[in-house]
Amino acid sequence: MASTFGRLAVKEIRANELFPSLLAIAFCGIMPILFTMHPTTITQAALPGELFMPLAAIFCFGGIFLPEQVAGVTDVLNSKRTQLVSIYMIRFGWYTVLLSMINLLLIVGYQLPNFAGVLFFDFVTKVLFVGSLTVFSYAASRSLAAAYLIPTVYFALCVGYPHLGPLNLFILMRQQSWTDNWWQLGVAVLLLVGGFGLVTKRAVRS
Amino acid sequence: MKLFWLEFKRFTTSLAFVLYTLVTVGFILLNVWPMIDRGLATAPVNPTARYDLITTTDFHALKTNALDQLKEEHADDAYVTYPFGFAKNVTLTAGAQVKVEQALNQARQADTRRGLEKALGPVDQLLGGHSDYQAANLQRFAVRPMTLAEARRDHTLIMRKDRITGTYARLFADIASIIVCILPTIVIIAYCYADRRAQIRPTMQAKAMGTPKWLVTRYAASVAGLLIPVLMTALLLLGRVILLYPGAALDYWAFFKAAGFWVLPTLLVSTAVGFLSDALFSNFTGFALQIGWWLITMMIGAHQVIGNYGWLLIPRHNSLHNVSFFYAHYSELAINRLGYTLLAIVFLGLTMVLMNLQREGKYRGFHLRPARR
Repeated sequence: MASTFGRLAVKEIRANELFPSLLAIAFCGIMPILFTMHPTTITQAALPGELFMPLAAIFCFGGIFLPEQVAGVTDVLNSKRTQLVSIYMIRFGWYTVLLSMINLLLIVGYQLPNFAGVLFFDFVTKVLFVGSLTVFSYAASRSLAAAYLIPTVYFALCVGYPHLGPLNLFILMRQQSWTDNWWQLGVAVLLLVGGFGLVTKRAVRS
Repeated sequence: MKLFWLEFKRFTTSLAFVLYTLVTVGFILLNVWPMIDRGLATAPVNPTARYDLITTTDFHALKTNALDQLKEEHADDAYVTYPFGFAKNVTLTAGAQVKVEQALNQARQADTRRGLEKALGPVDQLLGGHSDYQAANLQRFAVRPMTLAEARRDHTLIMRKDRITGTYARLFADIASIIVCILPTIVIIAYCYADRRAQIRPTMQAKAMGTPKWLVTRYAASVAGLLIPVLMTALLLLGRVILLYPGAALDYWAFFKAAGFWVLPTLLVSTAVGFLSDALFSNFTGFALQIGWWLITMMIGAHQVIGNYGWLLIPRHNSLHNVSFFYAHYSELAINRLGYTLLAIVFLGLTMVLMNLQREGKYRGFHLRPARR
């Protein structure tokens, strides 16, 4: 069973995630041009992970619902043993790992051992938070536009609106406590459970 | 005209449009509404009060700010440059540090803006460009709080030239442009994607209608729809200002003029990018490009939010003051807006070419073939 699932995951990633993943890597590849790779403070070091990676995350996670947009495909998939929600989870897992690896590479490149743990936790939390918001937005609305639109507006709010408290994406950039990430992680888990729950419920109903 | 209304109806009844309307209205109100409550009617009188920031033409303030920053950065050997608007740290070799010190001494002697630009030019070159010391960026140092006399002049312009609503309309345009620079691209890609989803694209392409008419009608219907939440918010804000200033001589058209002159060109571009990227990629890849453009524009604009037009897709004026700067640079803003309107037309032309190729079966969108299973 495990090997069947593993084969499915590999085939799925090769078929649907390869091109968007390459695009995402290329997109993230401009980070060393835009940001300093020798930061002296944690605020500077947080810039790429808090300002840039959420945008890459919106692009990646929004795309996990794209391949089944053609009419009828969803119904066909949901009639199979492997349900669509499992495919979504494979894609979500893949992009989480991919973006976390990019974050890890970035942090290793910084050579700031004192901040490495906090930065990695912060960056991965951002990826999960934006990813979960994308999944929930799509699951609740069944609209692909919502999957891109709502996280983008949330990001824009974080740029200019000062009253988001611990849910502001720019925690380290704004010199808030890194422990605020626990709030974001908690909300991310809730949104993911809710989002995938809605997708499953929909599949059973349809 | 019938096609226009059909497209308009289809567009404005989509879930994507409803979501767009809700978030656009919410975003603008959330950011502008609290600022509306700041009273503008009272003339400044307190000579010791700290007034808002303005972009000054005073050379002394510019020189002092520039030299203070350079002195500090030179002492720490920690300079900041802004390639594409993002802050980047630069450290120099001992030899380059000596050259910066020489430039600093030369800049101290400068008694004109031209002289200062000449003295600081080599510093920018040593830092690899994109620094605050670049001649075009020196203006960033010309920001300081208003004196009482300047605050009074600012107030006079607000009351007489802006007629109060004009001041709030600038802030509204600043905030509205931020959101309409990115969201229409998503809505349009989703709108076009709906045709692919329903697999009706080949049927539409086979209709006996010229591509220009088809595209221009869809574009016009989309722009008209996308402008609705902007105008709705303008109306709400105007109502609020009228309630706050009963009996004052207001410019009742100020918000709508700002929507048409300032916000619309940005919306035209982001909408055109949506159509172009759909024709080019046939998926949501265009969103990544537009969001990159949006972020870079935001970062560049963030260096001087109280008045920064230049060639920014989102011209910034996030202040209820700095009115003199606005009127002094009005032509710059007008050229900027005209330039982006023309760019939107160019994007539309490119989309037309791609759509023609698609209708002739010569192009199916740029994407890699999925790996073989």
